[in-house]
This record gives sequence, C-alpha cells and structure tokens, in this order.
Amino acid sequence: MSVLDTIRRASDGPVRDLWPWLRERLEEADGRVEIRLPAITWQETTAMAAAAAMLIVVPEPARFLAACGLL
Amino acid sequence: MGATPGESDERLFAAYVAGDVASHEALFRRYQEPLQRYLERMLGDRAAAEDVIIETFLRLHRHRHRFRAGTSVRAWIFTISRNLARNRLRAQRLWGWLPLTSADAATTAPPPEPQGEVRERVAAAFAALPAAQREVCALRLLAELSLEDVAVTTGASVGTVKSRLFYGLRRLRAHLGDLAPGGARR
Repeated sequence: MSVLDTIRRASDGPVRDLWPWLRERLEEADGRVEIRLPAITWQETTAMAAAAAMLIVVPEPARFLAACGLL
Repeated sequence: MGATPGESDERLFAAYVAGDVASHEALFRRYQEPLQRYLERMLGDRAAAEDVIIETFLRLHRHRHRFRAGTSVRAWIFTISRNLARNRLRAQRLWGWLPLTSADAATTAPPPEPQGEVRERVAAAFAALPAAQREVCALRLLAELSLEDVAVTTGASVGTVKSRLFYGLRRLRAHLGDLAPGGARR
C-alpha cells in the first residue's frame, strides 16, 4: 500500500448527513428580509468630502452658505 | 426534474438555480465528503469542518445568481470554503480560540476506529506541513481536485501548485513512509 493510499484511507470516515441542517438554515435565511443600500458613487463621495472640508476650513459655515445662496 | 448521478456539476447547478431541490441536494451530497476531508485537514476539527460546509452552501445559495457560465462550479465551491476556513483560522489566531474537541466531539463523532493511530499520524503529518503545502495537498489528494481547479481555488499558478504538491508530498512521505512498507516512493 502506498503512502497516498494510507493518507486517503486515514482521511476517510463516516460523514454525518448535513443536508437536513442545511435545508433548515436555508429556510431560515429565505424568510429573512435583507436591506441593502445602494453603493456610494465617486460623485457622492466627492460631494461629502467637499461638505466636510467646508465645515472645517470655513470659519462661519452658515454665513458662507448664505452668501453662496445655498441657505 | 430529478437529478441523475452522472449529471455534470454545471447542469446540476443550473437546475438548482432554476429551483430544483433534488439537484441542490445532489450537488450538496456530491461535495459534502470531499469538502469534509479537505476542511478537516485544514481546520483540524470535525465540528468546525461541518460548520464551514453548511456556511459554504449558504453562501453559495445567497450568491447563486452570480455564477458565471464557463467557470468551474467545483472550483467555486472550494474557493468559498477555503475563504471561510481561512477566516475561521484567522479568528482563532486572533482570539486564541481552541478548536472544539473533547466534550463536543464526543457527542457527535463516530465511534473510534481501529486505524486510530494511523489517522493521528496522518493528521500530525499534515499539521506539520507549511500552510500553503498543506492546502494544496489536501485539495489534490483528499478532495481530488484537478491541478487546474486547485490553482483556481488557491489563486496560485498551476506551476506553483505543482511545486507545493511536490514538496508537500516529499514531507508526507518522509513522515509516513514507515506506514507503507515498500510504498514510500509511490
């Protein structure tokens, strides 16, 4: 008997039937509602970064937005 | 539609995606045993291997519509289980978890076999291999994947897979040669 046969024989063993478990878990998973938010695009990322930077850089953000006609 | 034993993985998978439960079951039963052999060697624990098998098929189910025609279902299944096994090993290393053995295993494991000592030595020989070699040897020798599928599953080239297999086998033979008198070179 070769080493490979020994390895294979030693790795074979009775396998528990996991199918009923899987079906149970799948039924649970199918009954669950998944909420997925759409991915954020690069334009949205840029807009958020600009807004955050404005809050940090501009001394009076509300006045600045009003002066820009955005508020 | 009933699943026949000789049906290809891709046909079974297509029928399963179309809603055929028998094909799903046939696919699961086809892969449970090779996955178990591979995962037990990777994780060193039967209960953990079973968890990963279930999780693999749950993930497969969740992403079943993303399967690209022309790719290997077998490689896809093993890639999912490999990633899950690696995550689990990483978490164990991070948190210092120990695999569930002793009490839990005693309730679920099959009765002891006469080949217990050989099994332990084979397990120890695999555990002593570097991770990359262990993975390739388990996929090729125990799960019986083709070299190409092993390459896809591990994300390595076929050449790298052959090299890891060569060195892994050499170490396994060195560790286990005495268990197979006259067969160490085979």
